[in-house]
Parts: sequence; structure tokens; C-alpha cells
Amino acid sequence: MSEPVGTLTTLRAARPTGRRRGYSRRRAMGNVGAVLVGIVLVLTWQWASGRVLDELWVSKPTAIWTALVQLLTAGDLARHAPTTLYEATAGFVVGAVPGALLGLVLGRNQMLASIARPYLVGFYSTPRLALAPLFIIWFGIDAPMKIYFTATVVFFPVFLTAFTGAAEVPPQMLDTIRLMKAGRLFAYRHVILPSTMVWIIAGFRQSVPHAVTGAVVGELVASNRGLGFLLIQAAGQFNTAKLFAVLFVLIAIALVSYELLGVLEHRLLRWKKSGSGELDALG
Amino acid sequence: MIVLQDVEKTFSGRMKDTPALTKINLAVNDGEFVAIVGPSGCGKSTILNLVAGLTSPTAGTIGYKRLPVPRPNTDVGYMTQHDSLLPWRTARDNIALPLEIARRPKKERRIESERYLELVGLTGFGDHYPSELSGGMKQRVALARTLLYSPKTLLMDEPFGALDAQTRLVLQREFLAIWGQYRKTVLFVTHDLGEAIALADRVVVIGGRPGTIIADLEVPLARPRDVLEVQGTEAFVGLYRRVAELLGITWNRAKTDGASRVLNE
Repeated sequence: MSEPVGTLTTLRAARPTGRRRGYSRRRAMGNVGAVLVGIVLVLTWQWASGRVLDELWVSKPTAIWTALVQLLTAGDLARHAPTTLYEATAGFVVGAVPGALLGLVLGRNQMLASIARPYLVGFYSTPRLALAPLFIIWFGIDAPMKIYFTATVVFFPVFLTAFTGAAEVPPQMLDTIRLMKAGRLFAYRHVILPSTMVWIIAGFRQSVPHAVTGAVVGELVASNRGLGFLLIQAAGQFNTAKLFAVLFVLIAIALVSYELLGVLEHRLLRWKKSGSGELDALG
Repeated sequence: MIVLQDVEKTFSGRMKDTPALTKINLAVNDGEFVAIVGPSGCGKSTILNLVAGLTSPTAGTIGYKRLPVPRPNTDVGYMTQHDSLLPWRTARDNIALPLEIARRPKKERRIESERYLELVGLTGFGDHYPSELSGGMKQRVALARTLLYSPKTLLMDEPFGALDAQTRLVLQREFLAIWGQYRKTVLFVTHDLGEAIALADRVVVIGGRPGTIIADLEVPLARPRDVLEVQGTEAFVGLYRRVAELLGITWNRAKTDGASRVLNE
């Protein structure tokens, strides 16, 4: 089975078989190196701020830290983060579930796919951001507007991966069960769905950052709550430290959700985990 | 039991039509083990797909038990080189697949899959996923599943082709023993002439482009036989040479000639 491409995990080098000890040592050294680079960057930032660059534009790590603590203690985060989280999560579900289902159906049905193609391409080509004013008219400026806006952003990556995955189900597997008298429903449930699941989950993981982006952009357009609103507020006050603090919170949210989906992936795709041919020597 | 009459098969492509098989006339009796040999791309596997009702002939007829072959032909068990196991199911659940499709109760599935795991020598590996099994073990699972489905006819497309030499030998031997018990009709496609002769009652040689039957030879070896022992016998060697010659592989001094002929094709 071919692998879905383009998830962030591919940034990790492929795991070579054999010479595992050397591999894990190199990987450990790589991790240490990554931390070192981070420390150097933060220190440079701290040093350069106020000397090379105007602190008003770039703030500095210590100030951002103070702003972050303040956001936490003053209850700003507790007030605004759940709003954004809710919008992103709900938008993700409203976009990803139909995306996966439609991908599964169209990936297996060429005629339906041909009918849907021009409309999907048209929808895909629409700048999603330009839909925001329309969505305000339709859904108001509260959470629903952000949820539907996020859904339009999340829909496509999931749809496209599900579509590709469903189209790539090995025909031999389907023939095999057909010859054992399996019906269409059995084929969908026990072959097409599990086979496409690999792709769908890859699509989910790709869409997580999009979901957070969708919710925040929605809030930037119109809101009185949420992390996007906090960003606008900070920018209005020229408070770059607070602005960066909120940005880092957003990054953290996206990373944590990405990793959570990784756990889900691990669970659902248990059958994929183990390296192939471990028992080759046994014949 | 299986009768192919003047069968032709042409694959229509975007640029041109590619004839794959022409004038195929073949009759396989009940309980007979027939091997089909020939170079790759000669249309061997297409014959199996035709008998399985997965594709229809461009011309000619295919009879199965005196009737036109149904589409798909659920009376056959089809085993291929790879890719037929479902990787998200354990060995046990793969083997029990035919029973699950037939909606048999869980308990029966459990008992039967255990029985067939034992038959193919995989007791204790029931909970392994295919990715945790060796190539040989995967083919054992596929064989167990095919046998559990209990079809009248086995269609096998190079089932041991991807295995290393030793594993292949072990599996050939075990398969022959199992076949001795059940005596199913077998159509066995391979490009390994030795395998074809050691296993089958008849060897059908396909050659040319489009592929056609250039010889249909009885294997003069008694049963039960041992895959390894028969290979030294005169009858085996004689037939091996004959089939090889039919396929255009020449011997002795003509070797270089044969090589250049292959290159020119």
C-alpha cells in the first residue's frame, strides 16, 4: 500500500532497518541539537531586542514570558482560549466528517466523481477568506460563523486524502472477498474503510493546524471573544509582548492536537506499527 | 469441469488494443492438478481471472460445471503471490473471513480458524498481524483461508513465487500433502518449470504473443510424490528439458544463441 504523503511526520527521516543502535544515537544527538538551536535563537532574540531591533516591533523573550504569566493569572486565557478551542474543534468535526465520507464515496464511484468534480474544483478555488463577510450575514458574528468558516478550511485536505485513499484500495483485496461471496456493504466496512483509514487520519493530522487557523481568522474578522480577539486587542495596544504570548499559545494548541491525533493514529492503525517480515528467518 | 473453448482476450488500451490470449482450448477434469507455465506477460494469469469470472473473454466460451462461468465465480478459491490478506486483520481473522462473510457464529469461526492454523503449521500465530509474519507465513495464512472457504476449485497464481528457495520447497511439499487429502481441482500458474512438473498432473505450456497453448503434457510421475525426490528422476528431467525447449530455451553450445534470441525478442 502506498503511503499518504505530506504529513509533518515525514520530516523525521525514514527509519532504517538494522543498525538500530547507531540510528537511535544519531536521533538523540539530533534532539539535543534541536534544543541547542532553540536556546541560541532565544538568547539572540533577547540580546538583539533593544540593541539591533526596536523592542516595540519584536518584543523580547523575557517580556513575552511576563505577558504569558499575566494572561494566565489575570484569567484572560481561561476566558478566551476555550472559545477558540471550541470553534476549532467543532469546525474540525463539521468539516472533516463530511470530507472523509464524501471522499470515500467519490473515490469509489467514478461517475459520481465526474459529476462532482467541477463543483468541488470551483469550491476549492474560492478564496475561503472571502467567504467571511457572507458567513457573517448568514451566521452572525458569534461561534457558528467561525465553526462553518473553519469547516470550509478543514474540508478539503480531508476530502482529498480520503478520495485518493479510497481510489487506491488494492483491487486484488476486493476481488478476493468478492470471490468469497462478500457483498458491497461488507467490502465497504471491512476492506475499503480500513484501507482508506490510513489516508483519512493523515488528512486529519494535516487539517489540525488549519482548524486553529480557521477559528482565529474568523475571530480576526469579527469577534468579541477568543484568542483571535486577544490578538487584535494586543495589536491595538501595540503590545507586541502580549501578541507574541498569544501566538505561542496558538502554536501550543495546534501542536498538542496534532500529537493527540498521533495517539489516535497509533491506536487505530495498530496493525501497521510493527516492522514487516520480523519473522522472515523462521520461513 | 472447466472447459475453455476458442477463448480470446484482448485488452483495450488508450493507444491500442493488446491481444493477450488467442485460441485457448483447455479442459480440466474434476480433481485434476493442472499447471500453466510460460514467460511473464504471456497471459497465464488472465486465464485464471477468466475462470474466476473476474473478467470476460473477448471471444469464445468458458464453461464451469457445464454452465457458463458465473461472474464472479464464487465456487473457486483464488490465491495470489501477495496482497490478498487484509493487513488490518490478524492471521486468525483473515482465515475466518469466509465464515464471517457467511455470518457464521463467533464460536465456530474461532474453532475453524484454529483448526486451519494448525493444518498449515501456524498454531500460536493466530493473533499476529500480517506485517508481523514472514512471507512464507503469510502465504500459509492465505492457503488456510482458501482451504477453509472450501471451494471446488483452487486457482493459484504463483502462490510461492515471492518466497526464498527453501521456504518455497517446504510450502510446495506441504501443499501437495494437503492437496492429497482434499483432491481439489487445481489450476496452478507458475513460471517455475520445476515447480509445475513436481506438483501437477498436467503441464500446459503457453507461449507466443498473444499467448496460446503450445503444448499440453502429461506428467509421468506417480503419486503420492515428494517434491524434492522427483526432481532427480529421469522422467522429471526429460519433461523439464522438453518444456524448456518448447519455451525456446536451448541447451549446450547453442546457449549464446538462445541468449541473443531472448534479447532480440
